[in-house]
Amino acid sequence: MRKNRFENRIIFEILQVINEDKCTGSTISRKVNVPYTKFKELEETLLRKDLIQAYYDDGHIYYRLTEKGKKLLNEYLKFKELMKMYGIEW
Amino acid sequence: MNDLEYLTIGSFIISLLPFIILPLKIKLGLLKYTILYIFLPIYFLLIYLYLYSHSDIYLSYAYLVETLFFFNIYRSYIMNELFLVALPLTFLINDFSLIISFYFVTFNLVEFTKKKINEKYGSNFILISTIFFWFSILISIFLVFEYITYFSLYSYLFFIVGSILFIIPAMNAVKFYEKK
Repeated sequence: MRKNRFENRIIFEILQVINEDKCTGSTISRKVNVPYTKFKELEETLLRKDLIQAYYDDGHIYYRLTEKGKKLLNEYLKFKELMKMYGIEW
Repeated sequence: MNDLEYLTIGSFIISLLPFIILPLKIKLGLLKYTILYIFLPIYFLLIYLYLYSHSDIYLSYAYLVETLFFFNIYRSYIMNELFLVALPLTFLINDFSLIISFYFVTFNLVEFTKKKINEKYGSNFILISTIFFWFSILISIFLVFEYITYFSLYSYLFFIVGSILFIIPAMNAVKFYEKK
């Protein structure tokens, strides 16, 4: 697992993965590179804050972004792009 | 009011543009975004106060703010707070402030160029802007040590051009966002 990542950044990475693909919890935790237990912890926060929605399909739980989640992700991407122009990694 | 004061007020207004054009709605980015741009309007305000009052104290503050501006970018590149302890000294000795600024801006220029070549990211505006800042500080150092002149028009003009180029990516980010 990559070290020194702020929890906020992990949250944005989760939002990005959910936005890009139809994913289950284990796929997300693998793509974002966090333990599944950590993902479940963050998932709870994201659901509570109404940033993601969970839904059943083919016997699995999948996730999708809510409107609020999409707006937040867009803001993050805008910021990330801006920092890249300054040569600052984010 | 003379031409230089008009130019300073114009630069002050332009340096406020990032706050008007691109208000971020996330707390995470907002702090970094604010720190990135906030030193420029403060710098121009202090220069205006210096030109208006001819009080050297404003010029001392302007030097300090200039150092903080370069330090913030330096810190973002290296993630090191080592020089933070040296910053109060810059308030006491302006020459020291210029030397520290020169170190930061040289480091930023080298680091940015490396990223531009190796990792293929970073805006050309920032590269040119940093070169202008570098020349601005270099001219200042030369004039302080050679003629004991603490405010020079040439150095200031280089700084203004550097500042304008520095905020252009903020406008480009708006375009990127609209495309998305």
